[in-house]
Amino acid sequence: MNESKVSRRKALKALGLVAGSGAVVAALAGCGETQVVEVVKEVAVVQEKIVTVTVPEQTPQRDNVTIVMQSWWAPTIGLPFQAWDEHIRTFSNTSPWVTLEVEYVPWGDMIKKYLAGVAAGDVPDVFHSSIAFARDLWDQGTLEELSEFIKTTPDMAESTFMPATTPYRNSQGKWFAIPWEGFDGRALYYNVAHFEEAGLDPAFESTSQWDWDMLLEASQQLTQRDGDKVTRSGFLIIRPHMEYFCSWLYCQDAEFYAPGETKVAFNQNDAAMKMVDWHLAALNDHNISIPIVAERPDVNLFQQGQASIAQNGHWAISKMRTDVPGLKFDLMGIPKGPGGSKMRTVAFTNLHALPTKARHKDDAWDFIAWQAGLEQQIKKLQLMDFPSPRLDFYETNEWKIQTQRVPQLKNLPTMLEDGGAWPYVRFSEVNNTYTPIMEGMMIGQREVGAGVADMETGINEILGKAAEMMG
Amino acid sequence: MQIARTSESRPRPGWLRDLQRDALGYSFAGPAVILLVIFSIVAIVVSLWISFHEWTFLRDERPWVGLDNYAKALDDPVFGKAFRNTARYAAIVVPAITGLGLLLALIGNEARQGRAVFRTIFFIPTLTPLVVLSFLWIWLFEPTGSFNIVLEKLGLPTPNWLMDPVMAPFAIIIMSVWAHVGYYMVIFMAGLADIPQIYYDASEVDGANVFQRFWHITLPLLRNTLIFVVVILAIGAFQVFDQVYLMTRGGPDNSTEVMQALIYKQGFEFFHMGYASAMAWYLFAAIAFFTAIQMRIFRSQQLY
Repeated sequence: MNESKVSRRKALKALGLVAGSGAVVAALAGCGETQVVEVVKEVAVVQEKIVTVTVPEQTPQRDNVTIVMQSWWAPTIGLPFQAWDEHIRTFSNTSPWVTLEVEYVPWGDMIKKYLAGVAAGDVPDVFHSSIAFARDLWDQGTLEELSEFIKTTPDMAESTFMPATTPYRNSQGKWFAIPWEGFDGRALYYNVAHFEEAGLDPAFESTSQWDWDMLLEASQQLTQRDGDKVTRSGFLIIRPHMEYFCSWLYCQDAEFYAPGETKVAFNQNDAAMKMVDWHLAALNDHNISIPIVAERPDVNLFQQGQASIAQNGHWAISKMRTDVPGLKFDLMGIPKGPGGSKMRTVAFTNLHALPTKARHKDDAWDFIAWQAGLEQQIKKLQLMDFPSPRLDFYETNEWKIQTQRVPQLKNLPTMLEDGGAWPYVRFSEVNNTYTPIMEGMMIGQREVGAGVADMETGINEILGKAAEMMG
Repeated sequence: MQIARTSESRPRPGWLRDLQRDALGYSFAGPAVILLVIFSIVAIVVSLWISFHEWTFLRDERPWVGLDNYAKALDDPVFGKAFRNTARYAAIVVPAITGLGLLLALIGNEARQGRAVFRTIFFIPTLTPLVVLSFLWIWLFEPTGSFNIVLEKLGLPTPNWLMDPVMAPFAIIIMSVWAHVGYYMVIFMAGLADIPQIYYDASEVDGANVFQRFWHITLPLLRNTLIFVVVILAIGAFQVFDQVYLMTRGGPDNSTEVMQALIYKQGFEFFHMGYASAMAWYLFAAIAFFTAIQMRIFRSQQLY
C-alpha cells in the first residue's frame, strides 16, 4: 500500500529531460571551452531535475474509488444521525482517494434490498448488517470471510471486542462481520419523578436489586386509574417480542438456546411459562397497564408521562434525551426472576460486513476498521451518546466524561456484562413462528403450557434445519 | 400476347401486406407486449419451474423436489388458515363493495344537485395511499378510538378490534370496503350513464315502480359493468396484502394471515422461493377457479 509511484505525467517529463540532456552532450563536440562549461552546467541542472522527480518518497497515489455503504442510519432520523453522517465523510482524510457514498435504506427493507442486489450482482462495498440477518447472510454465502483481513489489522482482532459479540460474527471458526454499533440490550426505562412521587428510590443501586415481585409492587404503586380504567400505566405491558422475551429468560438464569444452538432451552424450569404468566397476571389481574393494542406508541406514552416504566432498547437513551430534554429518567435491566441470581438482559451489537461480490474490498475493509476503531467509537459516543462493543472504550476518559454528562449511560456495562444471546439464528423465520403463538397466549386464545410447547416444537424444527444446512 | 412480369408488379404475400398495414399499431403495442412477456409470462413460467425445486436465489444448489412443496403447503396449518382467511375476506368484501358501490351510484345518479360533491366525497379514499388509510384506521380501531366511542354511545360492546382474533378480520374488511367502494361507485355511475333514458320513460308510461325499473332495466343493462366489477374485485380480494401487512401483520395469532402476505414472507423473508412459488400457484388456481365460476354465473344468452 505504501509503494512509491511516479505519475505518468512526471515520468514523461523525466524522459523528455533525459533525451534533452543526451542531445546537449551530443552537441558538445562542436563547442568551445566556455560553451562546454555552460552546457555541462545545464546538464547538471537537468540531471538534478531528474533526481528531484524520481528519488523522494511521494504521497501514495491511488486511483480514486467510491465505496458504497448500505445503511439504515439516515441523517433524516434525527440530529445525532445527521452529525454522524457528516462525520463519517472524514474517512477521506485518512484515505484521500476514497469517496464514501451512503445508500440509505429503511431498516425493514435492508434485507430485501441487499438480497435483490446479490441476485443482480450489484452489492454495496460495506453492508451495515443488523444482528437479525448477519448470520443468515453468511450461511447463504453472501458475505466475505474476514479472517485474512483481521490478520492485517490487529486492532480488529477478537480480543478487542466484548466476548458476547463473538457468536454473532463467527461461525465454525470463520469471521464474517465486525461489530461497531451497540453494545445494546433491553432495559426498563423509568420516570424518576414518578418514582419520587410514589416514594420509590430511583437510584440504580436500588432498582438493580429488584425482583419480579418488587417490580409488580412498584408498578401497582405507580399506576393511576379512573375507576377500572388505567390513566397512567405503572408498567406498560407489551406483546413480548423475542428480544424482550429472551431478557426475561436470562434474569431467571435460563437460556434461549441449548448448547450448539440446534434447539431451544427456554422452558427449562418452566422459565418461558413463568415469564408469560407474570405478564398475563400483571395485565389482567393487577391492571397496571393500558391494554395491548396494534400500534401503541409506547415511547410517546413514556415521554408524555402516561407510563412510569416502559421497556426499550439501550440505544433509545439518546432519543429520549433529544426528544424531551427535561425528562428525568433512568433505566434498569430486567429484575431477577424465579431462580435468577441478579438483574440481567440480552446483549447484542450490530455489525459491518463485506459482501462477497463487493468491488472495493480493501478500501471497504479500511473503512470498516476505521469506523470500528477506538477513535471513531469515541466520536460516536460524543455525537450520539452511543456505547461501543470495544472493551478498551470503557477505560477511556471520554467515556467517563460522557457518563457524567449522560448519567443514564453509566450503568450500561453493569447491565450488559452478563448479557444473554440475542436470537440471531434464522431470526425472521423463528420470529414468525414465535410471534403468533406469543400473541395467542397474551390474548388468552392459547393455553400457556401448550403455547410454549408449540413454540419449542416450531423453533426447534427451524434451528434443526439450519444446523443441517451448515453441516 | 405475353405479359412481362417484373419483380415490382409481383403480388406480395397476404401476411406481409397485413404486417405493413398494421406496422404502426405493432410498433405502438410492441414495447408493452415485450415487457408483458418478460415480466409476466416468463416470470410465471419460471415460478412454475421454481416451485418444483428447493430454491433460494442466493445458493447454487437447487435440488429438484417434485411436488414436495405443494404437498408441504397442504400440511402447513398456517397455509390452511391463510387460505381460509383470504377466502372469507373475498366472500364478504366482493358482495359488500359491489352492493354498496351500486347503491351509492344509484343515489348519486338520482341526485339533481351536488352530484360532483357526492362523487368526490366517496372517491377521496381512492386517491389516498393505502398506507395512510391503514394507519388512520389503526387509530380509529383503538380501544379508545372513535369507532369504539360511537359504539359505546350506542350501548354496544367495544372490542379491542385489532387484538381480538374474532374482530380483527372484520376490522380489515370494514377498512377495505370503505377504502374501495368509491372507486367502484364511479364505475357503476359510468355504467348507469350508458343506459338510454328512453327505457325508463317507457317503463314509467307502463306504470313500473322503482324496484321494477331497477330489476328489469338497470340491472340487466349493467351486466357488463357488473361482470367487470365482480371479477376485478375478486382477483383483488384474493391478493389482499397492504392493509393486512400494515394493520395487523397477520395477527393476532394468525387470525388475519392471508395468502399474499404468507407468500411474501416465505419468499422474501425466509428465502424459501420454491415453497413460496408453490403457494403462489395454489393462489392462482383459486383465483382462476372463482373467476371461471363468476363468468359462468353472469353468462347470459340475451344480448343488450
